[in-house]
Amino acid sequence: MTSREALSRLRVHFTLPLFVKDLTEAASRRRTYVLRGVYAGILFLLALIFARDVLFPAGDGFAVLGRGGKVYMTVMLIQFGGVYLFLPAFTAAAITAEKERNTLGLLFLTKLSPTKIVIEKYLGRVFPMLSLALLSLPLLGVAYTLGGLDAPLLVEGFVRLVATILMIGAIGIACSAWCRTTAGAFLLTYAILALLFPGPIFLVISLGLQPNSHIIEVLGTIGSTLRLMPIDEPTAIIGIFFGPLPMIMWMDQLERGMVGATAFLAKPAWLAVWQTAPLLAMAFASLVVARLSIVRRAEAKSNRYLARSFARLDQSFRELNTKYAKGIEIVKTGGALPDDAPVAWRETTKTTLGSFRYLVRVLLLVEVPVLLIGATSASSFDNSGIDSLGMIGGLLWLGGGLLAAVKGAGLFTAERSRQSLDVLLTTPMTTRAILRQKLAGVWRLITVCAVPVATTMLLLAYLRYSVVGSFLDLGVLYFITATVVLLTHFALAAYLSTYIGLRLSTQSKAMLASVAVLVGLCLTGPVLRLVIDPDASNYRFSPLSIYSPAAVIGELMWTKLDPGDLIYLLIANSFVYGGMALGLRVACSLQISQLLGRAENEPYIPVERRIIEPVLDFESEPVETGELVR
Amino acid sequence: MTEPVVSVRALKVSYGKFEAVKRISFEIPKGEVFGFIGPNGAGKSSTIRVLATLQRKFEGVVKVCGLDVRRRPATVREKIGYVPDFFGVYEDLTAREYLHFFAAAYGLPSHRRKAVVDDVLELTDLTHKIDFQVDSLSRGMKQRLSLARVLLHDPELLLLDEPASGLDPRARIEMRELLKALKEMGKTILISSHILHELANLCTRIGIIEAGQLVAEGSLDDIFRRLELMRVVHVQLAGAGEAVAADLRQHEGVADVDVQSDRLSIRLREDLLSIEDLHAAVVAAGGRVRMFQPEAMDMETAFMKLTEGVTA
Repeated sequence: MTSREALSRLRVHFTLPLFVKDLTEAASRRRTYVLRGVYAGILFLLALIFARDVLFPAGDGFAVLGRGGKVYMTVMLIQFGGVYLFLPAFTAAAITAEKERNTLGLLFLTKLSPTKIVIEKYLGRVFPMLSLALLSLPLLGVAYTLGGLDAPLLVEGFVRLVATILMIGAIGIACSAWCRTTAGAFLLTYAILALLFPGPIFLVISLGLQPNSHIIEVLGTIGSTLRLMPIDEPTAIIGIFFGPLPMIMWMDQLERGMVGATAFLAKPAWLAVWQTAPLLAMAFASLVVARLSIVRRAEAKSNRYLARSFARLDQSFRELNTKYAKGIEIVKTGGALPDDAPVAWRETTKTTLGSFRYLVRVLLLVEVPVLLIGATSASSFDNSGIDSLGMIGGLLWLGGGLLAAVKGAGLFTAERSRQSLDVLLTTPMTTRAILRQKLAGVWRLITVCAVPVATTMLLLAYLRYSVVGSFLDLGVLYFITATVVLLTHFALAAYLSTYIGLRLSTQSKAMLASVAVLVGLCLTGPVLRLVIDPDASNYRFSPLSIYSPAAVIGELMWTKLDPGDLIYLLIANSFVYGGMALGLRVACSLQISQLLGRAENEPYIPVERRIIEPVLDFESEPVETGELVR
Repeated sequence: MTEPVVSVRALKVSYGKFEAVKRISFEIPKGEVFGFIGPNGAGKSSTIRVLATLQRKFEGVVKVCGLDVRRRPATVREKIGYVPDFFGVYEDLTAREYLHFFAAAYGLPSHRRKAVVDDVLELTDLTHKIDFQVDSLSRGMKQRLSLARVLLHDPELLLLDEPASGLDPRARIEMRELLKALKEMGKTILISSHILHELANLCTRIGIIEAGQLVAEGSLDDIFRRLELMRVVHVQLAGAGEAVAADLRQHEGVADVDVQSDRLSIRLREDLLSIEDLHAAVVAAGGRVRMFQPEAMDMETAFMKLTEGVTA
């Protein structure tokens, strides 16, 4: 073999065709540049708002010198937020999209090895995110000019951001290789991230442990000995896979005036890099999982593990029933075939949440851990227990909203990707009826998600208001308000994502857009609050919180509300978010035929607004039988 | 004269600036099997989507069973059965559930559904697969299940978009036989395909579409006649055939006789001389016939002659 041939082979080995294709495709889409522009705009706007006391000082301009660290950390935390919110959605479709298009098998037929496919897909998703991270450079330049931004701080932030991107991207790729659908990969990625953080906190709470318990001490000490902990405290072991942990603590201590305590970030560069080892190890392990799954799960069928295990359980129960109770059934299950609402029948019975008894079992599966954690929190009878319970409620709330959004986004996009929509649309069912019946499945899911959150709120109502002896009036008012707000938010998430799903062609696009809109909506309140009422305490109720669903949840979960606040929240939330949900519901109903391209007898447009079609002039006469046109 | 089941007049379908269908017109009388032929991207599926009420924006007047598709699409849906060029599966359903699902969607009374489902399964020879998951069926079976689905509400018009696409030879033959059965049942069928010889045996009329324009429409014989396409008849004789060939060349309607080593290949203009008369002429010329084999009409030649290989 000549040296030229050897070089040519080597070059072939190191070319990355899939990676290049993904980047080229992204570069040719206008959407890429629009999204980058929007991301940069939001990043700059949020940085200007959150660090405005430094960037736009009210008094002596010299006073801000040396405070570049705060600007830097603000920008970094916004970047971390962006990475946690959007990278999972961005990576989840990397391999599932190939599966859904039936193109993954074609890739296996090429000379690309499965390992190379995984790596190239990984790079194709991680590189754009890294390029987004570079958007903050101008702001970091400003921060550097202000001073107070030491090199170790710079290194720590940047290294941890890159490591977080690598870890989340790899987890997303692993989920994408494992799951059959984009929606499944999307949810699994978020579930794993939640398991890594704040999952350990819930584990500690549910096991009845204190943060300084023996097991935490031991694990923390091991982490400290290996110098893997970004903060030299044993309890920090809980956040070992949470990239922005030291930055959040730094900002928290800065806000509390404990500037001296932020010295934990002043460490050598090699140590900052070493401390990202857990994140990088997780990234590596995820890529190994992706490599192991990509071939085995290339043609994965719907396993429906839960439904199958329930069916086995049913079989056992039937046998026991026949043996000991002569087969007496108290609750008869309905017929197995569709009634007069076939779409609703399929949406509600062909899932794990299908039959009544399955629904009860799923509820128990979710409800029991919540009650256990609630009981543990209640036993402490101090504010930390109530706050923990509030955090659990808040997270369940957000999780339920995310599930409702994903389900809504997939209602019609999944039919499109399965190519079953056209067939459904040629039946005599009206599009409104199809929409209504499709939503039946979403409501079933919302019910299951809402029950544990409502349980948490009931516990909170009891713990927070029974101490002051007002559970029966204030506690009940709190519970009613929270339940109404909860259902409003879930309905908003469902209708918003359904509407977006009707407008967009693929499930992944619809999910990403829905999450982006919901996050944007959640950010509105805190940003407005900072702009309008900068001195407000986090622990004081603010009427401005109504501008954000997340802020409303925060108020309900962590703030002690008086009756006036509760009634305000009940009315204002119903008006704002209930109105939005209703508006989206109406928009879905009015536009569904148009968005699906289906002709309708009644176009649902007022007569006076209908476009009068021009009188047709037939330029060509119909062809007679047997006549040749040309 | 009875109203045609399908009436399309000056249909124009555009996607932005792109014109997929350019003011085409045709009619399909009751009981006819109309073959819609054209290359990929010619506008076949766009036309069928208009008839299936799946195309909201179009120009022209399109009627199904006398009903305007634009004004009364809901009623039109009750009259049609649409099989798209792909089989969208609900993978979580069995064949029974799948058919009951659509029986309910078509509004069949619940007490009649079982009997109807059993009937269509029997017709499509899928009774033994009734409790199989739809996803586990072969492609041919899925396509037959699709046909079973559109027969549930006994529609007057069947719109079949490339029903044989991607099927193996056995499944194609089974599909063709099924369509013949439906033809005998008196269904009006519009079937699109770019596999020409399949349509030749099935269709009573064809329309050839290219670049959004209908370039020919009529019965196969009409089209062949107008294109002056000749049928080739192969004749094998006992003994030498030169003398017979020379005699046949004198007949009006015989364009050419090619004497080959084992046979005569006669190019025949059927409008001037029928196949039966040719046979009589061969015998009259003293030929002792061992084999007399007219070739099937060559639709591919007709298609190539009529189209230029362009898309809209």
